[in-house]
Amino acid sequence: MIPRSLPKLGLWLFVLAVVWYFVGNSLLKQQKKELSSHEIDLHKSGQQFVVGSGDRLVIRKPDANFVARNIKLIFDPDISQVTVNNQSLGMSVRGDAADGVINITLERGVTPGDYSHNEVQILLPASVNKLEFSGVNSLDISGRLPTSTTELSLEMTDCVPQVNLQQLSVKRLKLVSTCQELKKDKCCTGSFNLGEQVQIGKLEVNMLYGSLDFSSEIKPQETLLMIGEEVVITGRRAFFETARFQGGAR
Amino acid sequence: MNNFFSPMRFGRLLRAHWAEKWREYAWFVAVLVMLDLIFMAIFFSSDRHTLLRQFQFVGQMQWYLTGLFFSGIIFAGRYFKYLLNPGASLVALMRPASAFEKWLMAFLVIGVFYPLAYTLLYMLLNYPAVQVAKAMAFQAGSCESCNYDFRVYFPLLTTQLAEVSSKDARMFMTGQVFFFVILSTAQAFIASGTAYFKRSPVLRTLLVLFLLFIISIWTETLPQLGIFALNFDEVQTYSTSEYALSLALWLGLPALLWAALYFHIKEREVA
Repeated sequence: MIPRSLPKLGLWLFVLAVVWYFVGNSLLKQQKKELSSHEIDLHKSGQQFVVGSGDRLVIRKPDANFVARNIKLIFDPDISQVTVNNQSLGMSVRGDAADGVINITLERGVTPGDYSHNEVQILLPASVNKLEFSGVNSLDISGRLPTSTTELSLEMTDCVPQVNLQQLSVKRLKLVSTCQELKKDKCCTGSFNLGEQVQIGKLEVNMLYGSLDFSSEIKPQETLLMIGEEVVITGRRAFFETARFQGGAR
Repeated sequence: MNNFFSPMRFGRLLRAHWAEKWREYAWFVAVLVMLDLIFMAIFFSSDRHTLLRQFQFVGQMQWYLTGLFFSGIIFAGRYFKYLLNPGASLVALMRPASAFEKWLMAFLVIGVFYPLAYTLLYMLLNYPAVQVAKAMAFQAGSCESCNYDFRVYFPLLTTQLAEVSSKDARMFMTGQVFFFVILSTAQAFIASGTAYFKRSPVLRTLLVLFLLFIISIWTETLPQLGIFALNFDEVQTYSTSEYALSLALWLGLPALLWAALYFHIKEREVA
């Protein structure tokens, strides 16, 4: 028999369960926020720096266990050195320059996964004419280049990156992918996407696997596609009218 | 004889429960089978896209989890239905068994036997359906670059996702384990409510749930999943306190609600 002095014990346990839920949630939420402001300030202060100058930029993400997106590469003809401005707490950026090559390495930040609203901005001088990426999930390239700039080469050295070009005008654009495997999941294959405001004189593509999106109204004067059989191309009729195909990718 | 728990007495209680309820359970199963067959007929008669979505591995898993969750809650809500009938209620409450044995039976029937029975039923219906869907998908024309995944889903045992790394397999297992924790919590909540309220038990239980929902919105309390959070992109590292808090929260919650049900049963006997 339950003592009369302890009525509705079940009800009190139910109330305890409700309190347990709300307090537990609150504590877990607090736990997430416990990262000290000092650590965040330290991260932020070290993430705005000038790397140096050169003509080749290499971006790497060696750790496959986190996602690197929201990375913006912006060409600025008014600067002479590569400058990093990382607002993301989810990613940490390291950089060095040697022999004309600028190396950027992306690592986990202080709060991995928290990068959705903040971006990594890398300002590039007009002297950079070759960009190489590996392990980076997606990045956007935009900005202004002086009319004298003749060539820009973008090269992905694995099958991961999704490279989006926006607002860029170049005389000669070379897109290269050295990806050597066919990904079954087409959504996740490395790709080059060219936006509406991209102007190209001559386009050259060298790619064995991956996808190309030229669905905006871009119309290069000359297009040479050296692509493998598995490359998926999306484009308008006008684009293909000027395109030439040449064997498989080298 | 032990007043708290006697295996012999508990066995007799289970047999008496089965003798009294098997028809009701058979009807419950029949309704589930009918609903499943109707939906399967709809899926098979739909376009190829629906067929592929529904009967491939992920589709099977979603169908299983959705069906188990909703039917499991309805089953839990119906368990104490007899308390509404004064005659049946009196017979059940006066049965020679302790409150713990009655609670244990409720826990086993709702939280263990029902999910097991549902899983068995699901396998019996799902396995042939998947084989038919697979044959239809390949008959409609093979697609070399398509990556069909018609493996049969079995809860908690099918741990390997196709084409993914070990971290995704771990997340996949964590997600399933957390589903069963949430299912148990929901079942305990509904069973507790229907055992506690004497008038319109289901309606009042749902009303309490709605009030809690309003309170959580008002206090801006979103469920913090802690170590159970699904994140296929990242390998997360958690501190010891995060592990302890997450486990205490999400295992403590169903435990408290099931414990509340024990006292509700006991209090109904006293009343």
